[in-house]
Amino acid sequence: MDNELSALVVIFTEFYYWLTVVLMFLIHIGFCMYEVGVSRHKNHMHTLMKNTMLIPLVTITFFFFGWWLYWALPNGPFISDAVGNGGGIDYGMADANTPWSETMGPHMGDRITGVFWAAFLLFSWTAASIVSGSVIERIKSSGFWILAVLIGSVLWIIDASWGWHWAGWMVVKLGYHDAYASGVIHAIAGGFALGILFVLGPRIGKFAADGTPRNIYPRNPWLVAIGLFLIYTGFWGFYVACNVPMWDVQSGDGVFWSATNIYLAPTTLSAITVNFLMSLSGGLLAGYMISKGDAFWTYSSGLAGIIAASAGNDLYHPIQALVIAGLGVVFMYKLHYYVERKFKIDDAVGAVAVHGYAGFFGVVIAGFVLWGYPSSPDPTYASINPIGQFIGAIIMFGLLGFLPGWITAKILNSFGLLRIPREIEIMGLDAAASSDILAEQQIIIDAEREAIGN
Amino acid sequence: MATITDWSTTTFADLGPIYPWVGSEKVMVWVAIAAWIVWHIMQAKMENKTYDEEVKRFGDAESLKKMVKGEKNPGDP
Repeated sequence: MDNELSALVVIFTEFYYWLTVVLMFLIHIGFCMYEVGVSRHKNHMHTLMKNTMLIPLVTITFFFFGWWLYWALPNGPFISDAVGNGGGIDYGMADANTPWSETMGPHMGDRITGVFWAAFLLFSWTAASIVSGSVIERIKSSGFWILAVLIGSVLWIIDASWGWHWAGWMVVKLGYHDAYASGVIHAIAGGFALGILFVLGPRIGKFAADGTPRNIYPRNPWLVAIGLFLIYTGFWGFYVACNVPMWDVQSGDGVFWSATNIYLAPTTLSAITVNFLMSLSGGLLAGYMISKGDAFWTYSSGLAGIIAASAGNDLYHPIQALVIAGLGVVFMYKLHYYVERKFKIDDAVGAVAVHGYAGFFGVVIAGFVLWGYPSSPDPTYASINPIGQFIGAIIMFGLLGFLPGWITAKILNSFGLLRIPREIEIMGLDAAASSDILAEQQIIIDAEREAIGN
Repeated sequence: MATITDWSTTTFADLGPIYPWVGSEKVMVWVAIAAWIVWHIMQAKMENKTYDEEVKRFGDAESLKKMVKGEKNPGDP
């Protein structure tokens, strides 16, 4: 910070990540609107509070231990030694990111840690919020908030450390590539939600006695539409936050400044902007056709299209992004209805499909389309390949997503902390609030009658 | 209490943290972690108690039938 140019680079980077955080806040607003729009009147306030309160809970726990986990675990369980320490915990980097580290507060020697922490935190909210929508109208808040902390401040952080870190063992050994988080956010959150849904069970009435699924339609389609538009908007911030804005990518002699992906490999903001729009378009076009113009699925497919192309959107040609998005949407739509019928899974907002299946598809397809590309500027790392990507997708969706979701839901269920009582589900989660409102309304009506002498 | 008492004599290049109570970060963090755990316990108890009360007030079979038919709202006598 002792000359104008270096100060400009630092403060530009600080401002860059700050802006992504503000944009990504819209994702959460969108998720809240979307969930409330899908839920029935009798559950609106509970649905809103369930998603809102994950904000403070994931924030403080990400501060307590999530950020430390990201920097501590890139070596995996003694799989890699890219950051030294004999392949174990990277105490060197982790110690600088403990909750009691001086750089977590206002510090004249560090302007990046806090704002980079915040960008990661907004990803954490997204991971938890993805799960929130699928379980509405029958989960206890107490159980959900424990699950939200687990996915938002532990599980996705572990997968990010493994596969979304410049020295993560999956990048080093498998050539794992997931530039805009098809797997590290979406597949894991979708898998986690599916694991919970297996234990939680469907809402009353979702399935007929013979097992035929019934639609529980969105209560407020306008709120759903605006919510999804806001999620699209927030996704711009999400994409930009996945980049490093200025980095010298030239190895050896010379200097060449470029934006990079999270692995410090070069890309451009221009490219990802085009690919974001093309994959959104591919998703919308395919979703409209396959759902026969159903608005709910068309909007969701726009999101699923972006997610399906996200793993490789730093390198894809725009037409590749368009086609991959469309294929991903067909895959997730078909699989959603197959799983719903086969396993009687009630995913209220289609989150498992939009995030989990499309994210899984996105990671796998990137292995074929980007086969042979370097996964990192470090030439000793494995290059991108289909097997590495497939194993990566299994780790994200299954090992760190579905399995912990299922196990934790089982434990919570055994303590009576997972599902609301049947009577509450029938009368609605807002029953007490509704009764209080009705009682207060009646008091005012009585007072008005008294005022006119009746 | 104050970490900085005079900006005019500060050499910024040598300056580190500027928040109050530098050196007591661990204590603050552990107090906050304890409060977080207590919050979860209290919230779970509060939620279960609320549901128990609501089931007692409105959860009889006849009331539930009327609510499903739209003939009664929760809280109606």
